Amino acid sequence: MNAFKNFRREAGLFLRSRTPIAALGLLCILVTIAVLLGQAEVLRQQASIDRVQELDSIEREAALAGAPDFGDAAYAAFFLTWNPPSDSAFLAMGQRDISPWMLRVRALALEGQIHETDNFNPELSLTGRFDYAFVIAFLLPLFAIVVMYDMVSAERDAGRIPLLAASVGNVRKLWIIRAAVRMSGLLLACLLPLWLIGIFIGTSAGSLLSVSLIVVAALLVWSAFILLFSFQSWSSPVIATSLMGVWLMLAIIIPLGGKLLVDRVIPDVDGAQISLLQRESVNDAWDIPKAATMERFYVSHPEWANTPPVTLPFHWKWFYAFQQVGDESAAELSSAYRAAIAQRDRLTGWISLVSPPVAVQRVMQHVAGTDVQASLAYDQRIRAFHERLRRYYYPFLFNEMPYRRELLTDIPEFASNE
Amino acid sequence: MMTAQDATPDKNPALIAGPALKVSNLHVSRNGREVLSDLSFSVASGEVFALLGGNGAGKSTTLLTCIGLLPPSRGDVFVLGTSPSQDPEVVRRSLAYLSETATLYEHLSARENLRYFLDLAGNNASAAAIDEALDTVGLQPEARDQRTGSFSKGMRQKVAIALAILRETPVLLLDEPTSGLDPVAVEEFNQLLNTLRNRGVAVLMVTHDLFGACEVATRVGLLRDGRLVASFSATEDRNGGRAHIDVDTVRRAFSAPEAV
Repeated sequence: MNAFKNFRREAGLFLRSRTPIAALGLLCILVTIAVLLGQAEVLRQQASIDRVQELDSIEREAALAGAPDFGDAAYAAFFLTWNPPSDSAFLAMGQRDISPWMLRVRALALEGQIHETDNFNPELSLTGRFDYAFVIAFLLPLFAIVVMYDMVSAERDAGRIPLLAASVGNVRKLWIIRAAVRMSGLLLACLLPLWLIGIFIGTSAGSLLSVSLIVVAALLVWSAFILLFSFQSWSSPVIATSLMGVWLMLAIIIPLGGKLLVDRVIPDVDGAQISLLQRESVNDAWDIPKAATMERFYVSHPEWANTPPVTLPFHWKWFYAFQQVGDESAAELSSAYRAAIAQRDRLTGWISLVSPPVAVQRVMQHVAGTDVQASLAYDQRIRAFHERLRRYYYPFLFNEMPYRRELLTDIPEFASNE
Repeated sequence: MMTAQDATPDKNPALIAGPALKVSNLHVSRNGREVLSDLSFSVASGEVFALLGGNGAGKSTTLLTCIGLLPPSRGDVFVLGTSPSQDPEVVRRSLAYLSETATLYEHLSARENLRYFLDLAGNNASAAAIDEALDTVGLQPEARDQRTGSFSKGMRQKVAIALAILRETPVLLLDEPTSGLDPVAVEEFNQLLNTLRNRGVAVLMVTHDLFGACEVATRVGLLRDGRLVASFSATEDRNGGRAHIDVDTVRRAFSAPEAV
């Protein structure tokens, strides 16, 4: 009861201060804008997926209906794969800004198809998106500094501490209550728009709760820094400048230094190199004896080794064999590419231990299903689906069956949760 | 049987029965320099003790140590028998403090400031009591709901004095209370201090205003380089008037190079 009364008294005093209240209002507006922008992007992505799904089946049906043979059918029929946004993806777009979340594939060599979009959105990969995770990771600390940095020093500069001490008895308790009031204001500004909009658009309570806990944790960490500096007997400008220095170090310098370290320790594999290697292999196949290509293909697909040899200048089974051999040529590089991404992600995880903003973004992206792991998982789902697709066509191609549309009854279809 | 450890100041009736404020062989250092050196004095209930001293003599340090905001390196302070180093909360609830600059919250009105600081002290003074205190200090009714940021120093000081009255504490600490007040306000303040003294409040006032101190105090102490170098008590007027301290005597002692 007493604690509530004390909290209410200090909240009343705080609400009369113009600058911190204006700062909280601005934070609330930024959070609202970030959440709405994120949701708008999610809706755009979901609408794109829905629209392309609809057109995809229509176009595929037309391609299959008009195909003269199974090779042509496999060549012309695209299949949509997609990675749907989770119900909390709007909070942290993460890898969805720089990695594909929708890809149409066909039974040709896969690596070229997967890495075709690697340079799809380089400007967003550089600057990041203004989403909720960005606001909490990078802007919330600045607002916390504005609201809390002079909690003690302003009283000291005004010469009010003796009066406060003589009135309250335990000044330390007063600082704790005042810190709690300010933190509550910051939390309210960050969480109220999130919950209101989140509930309105149907975000699960679990996701909202998880994200709220991340916000609380981030605020606790930054508040600890701010209070540590606030209790020093420094002037308000010195405290503010020092805290800005801490923010600069933790939010800019360490992440930048970390990026340089990651680049140096685990060099990035260029996705375009994989495409190039795979395409060179495919192109070379036109100039080498067909038997050599088929021999390589049969090593990984011995079940087709006993089918008739290719004698014609062009045969679909040879065509699809060299597509697969092309993928196999690039397999090592492709695997290294994914391993490097995973290693870089792990190292970034270690760096996030000394950079709260990086940690906040990573955890939020994990909750939102937009982190590197989610992106790699989608990549794996595409590969698994592509293999099912290829292997579906192989019996028609290698057994040299005459084309009939009605034979293609159980064509594999991508499921986003496969 | 009571042991030495049981005889804590706040529980020892013998100590509580003594002076309301007792400063005993106090040594306080700030930034490596000894500001107070072996300072001893006491203030009884119903007594106004004025500590006179120049800049840097240690006047404000004495008050801050009494509140418990500065720890003594040696010696101690007792407020109603309790040392702030042992139980600052109990000590602070027993005293009210009035600073030179009347450090109110400028974005709050006079009434809001009083309400806030009284709430802080756990005092549930009624609105009528607040108005009565503001009447006592002579703050105009139309000013009471204005932001104190627009107040003159004298008006702010009146609000701070009203707070001290409303706190109804047995000990009152005043830091240069009449600094910046106009003569009328000083006269009103002196009358108020007499009222509080008559109610039995023990008042410790630090000031460099020789005349003001002699006018209102029942005892004056001279503080120089953190040491109490002389003290003077009020004596009865020959004509049976109010007890007072002779200004000339104090001035001579104040100007003397050595302690009196």
